[in-house]
Amino acid sequence: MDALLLTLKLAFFSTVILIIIATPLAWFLAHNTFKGKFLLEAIIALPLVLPPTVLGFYLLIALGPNGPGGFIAQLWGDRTLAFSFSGLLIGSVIYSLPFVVQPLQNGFSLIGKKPLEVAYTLNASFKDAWRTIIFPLAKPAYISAATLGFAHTLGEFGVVLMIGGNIPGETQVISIKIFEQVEALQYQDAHVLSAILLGLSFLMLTAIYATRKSVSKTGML
Amino acid sequence: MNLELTFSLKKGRFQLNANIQIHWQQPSTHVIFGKSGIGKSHLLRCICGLENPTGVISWHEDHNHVHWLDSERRMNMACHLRPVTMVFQDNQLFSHLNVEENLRFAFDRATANEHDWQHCIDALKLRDLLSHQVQQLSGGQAQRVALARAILSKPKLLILDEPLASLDWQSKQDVMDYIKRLNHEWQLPVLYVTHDIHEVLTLADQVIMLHDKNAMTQVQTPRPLIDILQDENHPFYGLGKSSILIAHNTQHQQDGLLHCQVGEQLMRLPIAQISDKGASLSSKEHTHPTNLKTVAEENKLRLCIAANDVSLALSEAKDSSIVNTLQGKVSRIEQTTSGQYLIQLKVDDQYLLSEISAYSFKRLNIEMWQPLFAQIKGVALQRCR
Repeated sequence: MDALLLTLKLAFFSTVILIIIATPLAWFLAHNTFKGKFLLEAIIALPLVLPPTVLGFYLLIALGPNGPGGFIAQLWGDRTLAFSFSGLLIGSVIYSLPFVVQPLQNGFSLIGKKPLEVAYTLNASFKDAWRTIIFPLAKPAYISAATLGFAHTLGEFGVVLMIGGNIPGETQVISIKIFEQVEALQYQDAHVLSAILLGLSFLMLTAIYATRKSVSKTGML
Repeated sequence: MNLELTFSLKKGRFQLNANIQIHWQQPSTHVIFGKSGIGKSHLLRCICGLENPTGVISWHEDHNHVHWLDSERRMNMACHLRPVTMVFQDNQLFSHLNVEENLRFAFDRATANEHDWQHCIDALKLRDLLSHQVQQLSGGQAQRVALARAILSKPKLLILDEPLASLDWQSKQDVMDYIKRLNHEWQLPVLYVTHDIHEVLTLADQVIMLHDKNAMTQVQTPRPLIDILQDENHPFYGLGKSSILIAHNTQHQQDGLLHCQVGEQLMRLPIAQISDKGASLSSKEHTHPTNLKTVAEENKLRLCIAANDVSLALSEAKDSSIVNTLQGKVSRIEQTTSGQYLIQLKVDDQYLLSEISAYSFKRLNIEMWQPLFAQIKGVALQRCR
C-alpha cells in the first residue's frame, strides 16, 4: 500500500506543479511566433521520444552531488537530490511536461487572444479576465492536460529507477514494486497491483474522452 | 470631448502615423474610412490600449485631461482602465456564457444601474433572448447583444469596428437602426470604422480618412461628411453616388406627411413611400411611429438621396407620381466609367447628384448652369446632429 500511496502522491504533486509551469509556457507558445520557437518546442517534446533511461541518466547526474541538484540540496544540508522524493518530483515534472503543455497549447490556440482582449475592453483586469474567461473556456484543455500528466506519471518506470532507486516509502513507486515482485516470482501480488494500475489508467482515459466529446467545440487534444 | 492622437505604431514593415484631434461637440459619430488592410483596426487597438505605440494619446472631457499614453513619461494606461469599449466585427461574445451572463459581465464591471439595464434590454429588444446560448443566436441578434454589452459597460467613447461587415443585408438594416440611436439615446460619442461607403453616408457626421503612402499609413484630420461630399478633389466625390441635403423646418403634418424645406423649396416626405432601395436607406425606422416622432422633433433633417433615385426634367411636371421636385442649376457634368452621366445640381447652396443615361443626357441637351428640375424618387431620413 505504501507504494500505491507514494505513487498517487507523486502523481498529484507533479500534476499541480506541471499545470502551474505549463500554463504560461503554453500560452506563450500558442500566441507568439519568434525565431527558434521550433527549438523550444522540440526541447519540450523530447521526453516523448527519449528512452526514459537516457533522461533518467542525465537527471541522475544533474541531481547528484556534483550537479546543480546537489548544490541546491546543500542549502538544507543534504548531499544530493537523487534518491529522494523531491528528486523524483523533479524527474516526473520534466518527464511529463509535453503531456501537459501540448493539450494546453492547443486549447489556448483555439481560444485565441480575442476573448482576453474583449474582456479587457469591458473593464476586466488581467487576473479577472483569466479567472472568468480563459480558465472556464480552457477547462476541457485543463482536464485533458491534468489527466494525461497524472496518468503518465503513474506509469513512470525508467526515470524513477534511474534517479530514485527502490527505497520503500521514499522512492519505491508502484511500477517498480511490480517489477520487484515479478523478479521475486510473487505473481499473486504483482497481479493485484497491476490490476489497480490498469483500472486507474483506464478510468482516467475514459474521463478524458468523455469530456472531450461533450465540449468538442472548444476542442482538445 | 476631445481625443488627441499623436503617435506612430511600427509592426514589422507596417507603419501607422496619427497626428490628429478628434472632437465631439456633442455625442456624434466619426467614421474612420480606409480600404481593407490599411490599418484601421490597428488604429482602434492603439486607442483601446491593446497595442503599444510611441507617442501621446489623451482624452479631454469638460476640464479633465487624462493621458492614456505618454511614451516620454513612460506611462501607458492599461486597456481595462481606459473608458473605451469596442464592438468587434464578429461580435466576440463569450461562448461559455449565455446572453444574460454576457451582458452581466459588462454590467458588473461598470457603473451602470438597474435602470440602465432595463432600458438597454428593452431598447435593443433582448428580453426574449436573455436565456439563450450565444451559439443559438443569428448574426444580427449576436451583434445586438454585443452592442448592448458595450453600452452596459458605460464607456465614455464607443468604438465600432466594422460591426456590419459579416451580416446579411436584412440583419445589416436591423443592426444599423440601433447604431443610429447610440448618439442620441445613450449620449455616446462613437468612432465607427468601415470600408463601406454606404455606411459612411448613413452614419457619419465627420469622416477620418486613412491613406497609405510608401507602406506608411497616415491618419487624416477629421472633416464633416457634407464638406467631403461636395469636394470634387476628394476620393469620395461621386463614389457613393449619393448626395446629402440638409432640410429645415421639419413639421409633422396631419395628413401623415413630413414637411420640410431645402433652402426655400418645400419637400413632402410621404412616410410610406420613403424608398427602401439602397443600403443606406432604412424604411423600417420611419414606419415606426415613435422613431418618426423623434426624427421630426429634431427640426433639422439629413436627407440621403441616391443619384439613381433622381431623374431630371426641363420643366416642372404637374402630372407626375413623383411628389418631390427640386429646382437647381447644373454645376458639374461627369461621365462615369459605366457610360452613365453623373450630373451635379446646385440647389440653393447645396448639391444634389443625379445619374442619367447617355441617351437621356443627349436628349435633354444638358449644359453647364442650365436650370433643371430634379425629381426625387426616394429619400432616406436621418436625424441631423
